[in-house]
Amino acid sequence: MSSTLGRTAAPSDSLDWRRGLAWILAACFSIAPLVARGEFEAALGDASRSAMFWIPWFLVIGVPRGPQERRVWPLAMGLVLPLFALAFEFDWRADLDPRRMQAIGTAGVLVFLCLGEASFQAGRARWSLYGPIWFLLVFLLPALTTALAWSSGGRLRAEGLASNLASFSPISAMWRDVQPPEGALWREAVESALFCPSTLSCVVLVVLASVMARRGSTT
Amino acid sequence: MKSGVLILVLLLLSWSTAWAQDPVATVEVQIEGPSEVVGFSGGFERTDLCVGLTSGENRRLLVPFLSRDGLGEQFALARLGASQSAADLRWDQESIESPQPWKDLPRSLRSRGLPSLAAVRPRVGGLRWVWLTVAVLIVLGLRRRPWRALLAGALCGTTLYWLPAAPIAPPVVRLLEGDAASGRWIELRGARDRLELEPVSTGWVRHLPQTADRRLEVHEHSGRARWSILSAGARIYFMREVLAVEAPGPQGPGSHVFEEVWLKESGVGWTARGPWRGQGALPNALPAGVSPPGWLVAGLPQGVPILAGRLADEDGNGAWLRYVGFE
Repeated sequence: MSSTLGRTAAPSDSLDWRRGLAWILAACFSIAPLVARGEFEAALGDASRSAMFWIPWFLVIGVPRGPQERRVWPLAMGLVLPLFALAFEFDWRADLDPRRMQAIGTAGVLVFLCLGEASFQAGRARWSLYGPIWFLLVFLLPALTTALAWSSGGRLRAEGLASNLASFSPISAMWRDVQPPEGALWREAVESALFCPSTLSCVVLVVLASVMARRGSTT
Repeated sequence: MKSGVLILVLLLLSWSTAWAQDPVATVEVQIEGPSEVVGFSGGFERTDLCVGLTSGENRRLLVPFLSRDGLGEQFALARLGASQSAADLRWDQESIESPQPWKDLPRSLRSRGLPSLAAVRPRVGGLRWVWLTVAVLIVLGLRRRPWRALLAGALCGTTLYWLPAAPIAPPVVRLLEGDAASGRWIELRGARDRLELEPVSTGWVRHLPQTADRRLEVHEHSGRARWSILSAGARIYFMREVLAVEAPGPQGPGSHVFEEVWLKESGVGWTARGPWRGQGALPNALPAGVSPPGWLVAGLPQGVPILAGRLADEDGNGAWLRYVGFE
């Protein structure tokens, strides 16, 4: 792959040590709820482990990368799927609603794929706006909404600005699916997992990154 | 006119959620074979009779059905259109028994916290960890060919479901609720997804979330009948009034065997007393005893002494007792 700056560089190896470390950490955090015992397990209660599983991976898979880097999400997905199968089976055997779990699994794979591909395409296109957008979606919105909920004593958690903002973040959306409100119908759960603004924002992000890559944009 | 129709529609829509506890009435049904499963709409929810009978065989069963205060009798046992069974069913309207209205129970028995029924979490066994390690090694071995690694990961993930897994015992809870002022007791049984019951008397059923689908089943094998209340993904509670329960007193636990007991006295709060067995007096407060579970002490009346305890249970299920007015 030749660089737009005139330098010629071979694509970097798909697993440098920093990415490897991030993946190891994500794997540890994602399977930690499966090995929880005692008070930690009791605190988790009926929470869906398969929804919790995706959150660390959403944090690491879309990290902005350089133009010479290869597409790494297929390898990451290859690692994630056996781990996710373990979390999925865990919820399955704990009798969580299988339709909700399927929706969480589908949404998780879709968002993971979108973030990974968007990162690759944005790197290829040297799309400098990708970094701020990714930071906003993955870190800033969940952090802001959590800060708002804490500072308001929980009053802003369920409705209003915080909720609207959170709906655009895949982290916040998946966190909401960890333990949906009691009484939520499976159809609502599927809609919240699959057709929520966060999934759509990830799809839009990957489309934009791909368009930029096709144009060779340096915006 | 439009507002009247709107109000009527809203009333009908709110009908299904207007009762927190639904009465379970019973009726004696004579069933004649051949039959496998016969579905009935008894009251306002479905009751299935799962009774295998050959032609000429017959059974007399006590069948539960979900009723509503004062309405159960009107809706009793209409055969569902979808039922293809040729079984012949007869019942006597006079055999229908409905429980008393829930609101007629003492308030202290009605407004208490329900037992926690957390899902039993499976354990990830050693075989799965070995399998996971092998899967990760295979995928990492294919790191130069990421699409093949993806395929290998998907295949490894799928094969997980063929690995043997230890069965999980679902949580079942039994709770005795007593009220000293009225001398009345109710027994509550709770389970997730499916609550199995001996054919007992009438009672009340509650399921959470209330939006979950629900139905009742009656099974009969070799002359032994069982009732089941099914509601996928929900916590199910069945309550019935019980008579002749020996109340614990300060001088002895009665017929109960407590593994752990707590007492709440006015102005003192909850104190742990440890195990209470035999016929001895209530043990003194332990200085560093464990706290009672949150659900056990939630929603209880103030200003009266209350005894709460965990009972010994041979089946290994959770068994609890709460007694308001202990003195």
